[in-house]
Amino acid sequence: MSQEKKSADSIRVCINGERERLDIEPGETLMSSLRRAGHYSVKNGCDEGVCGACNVILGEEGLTRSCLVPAASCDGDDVMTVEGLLDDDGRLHPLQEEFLDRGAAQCGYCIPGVLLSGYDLLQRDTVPTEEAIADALSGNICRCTGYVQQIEAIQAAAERLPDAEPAAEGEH
Amino acid sequence: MPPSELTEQSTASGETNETDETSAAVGESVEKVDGWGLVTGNARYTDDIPTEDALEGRLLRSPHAHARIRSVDTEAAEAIESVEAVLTNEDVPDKRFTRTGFPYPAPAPFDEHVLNETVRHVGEPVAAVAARSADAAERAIEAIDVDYEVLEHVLEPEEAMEPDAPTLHPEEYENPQENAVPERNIVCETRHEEGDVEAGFERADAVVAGEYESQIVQHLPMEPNTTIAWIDDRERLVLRTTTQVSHICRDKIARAFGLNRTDVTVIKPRVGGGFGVRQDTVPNQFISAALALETGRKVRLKNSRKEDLHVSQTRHAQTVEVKTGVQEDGTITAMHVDITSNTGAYGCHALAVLSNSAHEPMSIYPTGNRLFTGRAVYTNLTPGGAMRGYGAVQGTFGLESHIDEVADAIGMDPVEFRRRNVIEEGEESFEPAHSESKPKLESVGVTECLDRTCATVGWADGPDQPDDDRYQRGYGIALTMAKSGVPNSEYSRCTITLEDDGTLTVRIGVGDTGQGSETVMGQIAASVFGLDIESVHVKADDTDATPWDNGAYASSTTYISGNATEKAARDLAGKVRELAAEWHETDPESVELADGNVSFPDGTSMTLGAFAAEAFEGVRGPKRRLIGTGEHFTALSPKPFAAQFAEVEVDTQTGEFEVLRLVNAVDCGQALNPANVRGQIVGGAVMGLGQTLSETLPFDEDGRPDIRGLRDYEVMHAPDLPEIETEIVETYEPTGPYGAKSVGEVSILGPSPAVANAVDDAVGVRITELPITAASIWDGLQEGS
Ligand code: FES
Ligand code: FES
Repeated sequence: MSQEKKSADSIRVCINGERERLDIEPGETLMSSLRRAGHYSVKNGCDEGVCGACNVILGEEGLTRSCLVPAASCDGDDVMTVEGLLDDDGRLHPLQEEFLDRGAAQCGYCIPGVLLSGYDLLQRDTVPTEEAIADALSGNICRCTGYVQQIEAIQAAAERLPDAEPAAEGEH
Repeated sequence: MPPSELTEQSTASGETNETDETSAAVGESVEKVDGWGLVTGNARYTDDIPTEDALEGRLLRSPHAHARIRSVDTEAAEAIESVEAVLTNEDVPDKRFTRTGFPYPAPAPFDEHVLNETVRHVGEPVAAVAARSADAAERAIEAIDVDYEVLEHVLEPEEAMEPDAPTLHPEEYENPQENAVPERNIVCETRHEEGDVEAGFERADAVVAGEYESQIVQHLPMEPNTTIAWIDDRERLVLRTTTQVSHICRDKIARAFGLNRTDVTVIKPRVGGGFGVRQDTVPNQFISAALALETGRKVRLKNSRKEDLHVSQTRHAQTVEVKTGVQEDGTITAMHVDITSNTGAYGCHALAVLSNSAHEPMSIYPTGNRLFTGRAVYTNLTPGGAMRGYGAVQGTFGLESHIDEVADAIGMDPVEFRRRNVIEEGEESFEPAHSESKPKLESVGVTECLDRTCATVGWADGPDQPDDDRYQRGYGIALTMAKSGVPNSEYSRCTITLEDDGTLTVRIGVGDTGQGSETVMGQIAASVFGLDIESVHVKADDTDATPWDNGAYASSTTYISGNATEKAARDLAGKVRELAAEWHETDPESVELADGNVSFPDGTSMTLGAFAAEAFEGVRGPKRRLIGTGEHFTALSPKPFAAQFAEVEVDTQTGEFEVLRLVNAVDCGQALNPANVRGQIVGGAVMGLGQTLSETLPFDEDGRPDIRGLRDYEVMHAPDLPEIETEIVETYEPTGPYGAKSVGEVSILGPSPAVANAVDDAVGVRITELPITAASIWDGLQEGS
């Protein structure tokens, strides 16, 4: 990126439980700043708030399209990306396991965003119906899978999770 | 006694698996070899590497649908601090090529340059900039001054063929296609007749004709198109890019710039979806190469989503006319399909897509008298290209809608009518002469697909009607067929190394864009040795490390590359047996490979790992690391089939309608990875439903794409899904790897005609234009009442 213009500013955020300083350029979105800092699991599918590939869980806001949020407004916030789904020992979250088992990830580009939509839903609804899951994915575009196996995977993960799952890292 | 004989042990008796019958991995829904990276966010797509050292590339795009560039003033742009290069058509090789992702010479006219002097669609690149900051690159683009001579443009094929229409490509055609007529903008014109169609029509009791229109849609893979180009330490040009045809891309880039192929490398990282749009070498790739060659530096050129929606190759819009002669007993006596295909500004895939549009759907009904005529025509729209289904989406919409109309004309149930005419095992598909695909098909499960679908949905009983007769429900069905690779064209080669720990490294150039082909190659190799998938490493990322493969192509990967992989694995297995037999002074045939063991007739065995280690240590002879190779090229293209069913409910007072249910029964031969296969089927069907119900890329009268961005491009979202059921109807394809055919394309074909047929069944309105909208049904209802 720019070698002339040094970043105008920086923000402090807590990403998946780790404190980080993100350089931000004027007018930059959270998505772009996260990616520049190496958080490439946050995908840029449209840059216009339509596809959900850039989903993160942002502090109090919860599930958020990071391409719509000015990075400058996130100072002091907690951010969870899909890496935050792994437990302390690096083991996969049941959602991730079910996605693998059920062939719910094809190209994978939408997957971080879809997993976070699923995770966000399961925080609110521990026994979601198929319909509720489909609604939770209404802001994600997956062009490969036709969603069916993703819906099944989220439902299967819900069945495996204890009722009150402690919030994952990055949410504290 | 060699040390490793310590590892020899008795084989579990009874499990005398013949190597050939061991299939530890094939047929199971094993986890994808790249799956962990996909669900953890660790998979790295083209733009997911730090590119701080890269120059930012930007493109100036034409605002005109058709214009000649008189001159470009780049002075102000070049003066902007940190701008490293500004390229126009004067700075690129004066060499024409086709972006089409076929190997040279390609069935397409060579009709474009890296940057053209005449631009032929809105959004075509006119100039390119590389700068040390994005901001400078953007300012430089704005500072470029272009003097355009705006030319008359034409958007519809019918108009483009008129004598007074502007000629889009007046220069002599290079690599012209069948019956090209440049002054009428006809890229190619094709005719294929079997039997005697006129005589067939004469024998008919009724002749039914219909015309069906399909729209332009976009693939919209979720990863936008990005290329990062640089010159490496050996002065080679490297492209890290979203492609499904890396070897072909390398070839084309080398030709376009007059480089040796060995001086170009194409790296294919994870690719975020393809669906055909990555089957071409696209302007973004040529231009980033040009910028890297010009500056000697790394350049990053990324399309925004909106740019991708506007300028990525599209699905060709087609007008499909069908005429069928039929006897009262349901016998088809003749069929004529005529197609006019809008190929847009460039002729990529014009001929091949056109051919496929008719040949696939017509193959399903092997009447003795068949005729296909068609033409592809240049217009000033975004060029059409390869897209999942490859023309058969358009042709199947026409033909499978029409089949219902024919059945209706003789008062026969459309399923009964299909059953009487549908292709059976041992019959021939309708193929053009240049494709010498083996005439007799050996695995044809289409009737079983039809039967299973009808049983599942209770076809004979029809839908349960809602109590309120304002709402009417209907059933519709469609039969579909695709291919497994392009016969006499595709080629794949694979090498497999037995590593000294007993694992396999499979090197193959398949273009996995998410469909799971790397996994399936791994499964095939593992199965030959009776290994589990974890013991196989598949390397399929770049042109340096992998042998030639056409890439993800015509739904071919499992069939073509899978056969190459199986051959390579068997070659390697043969070498293992020979060496093992030498050690044991026995006959290679008597050595068995199963469950990761090498077993001998005397009842002893050693693990493949121990065997490989010993071979490499050279304990009993020279050091050896065994490598198997296999290649596949074939005149065959076995056909996967499907029956697809839709149930719809129509509001007779408004025309509003809903697809309630979609059932797919698919014959893909043996399903090597059932979860993957199901994902391919559902993904294709839902994309097909999107084309049926909502997707469209409209252009205004000036040829401008009439959408602001992704928000205006309506794809299916999860809550829009009907109830979807999928059945895999397994047949065994004797020429396929482990009995497999392809599956990636066949399920996208049926939803459009199935829904149109269901609408007709519900309310008697025949919709002949995609997408099917409430307004068109409403109009039909008005006419009918
Ligand atoms: S990239 Fe943010 S919604 Fe698509
Ligand atoms: S898996 Fe490719 S977009 Fe969802």
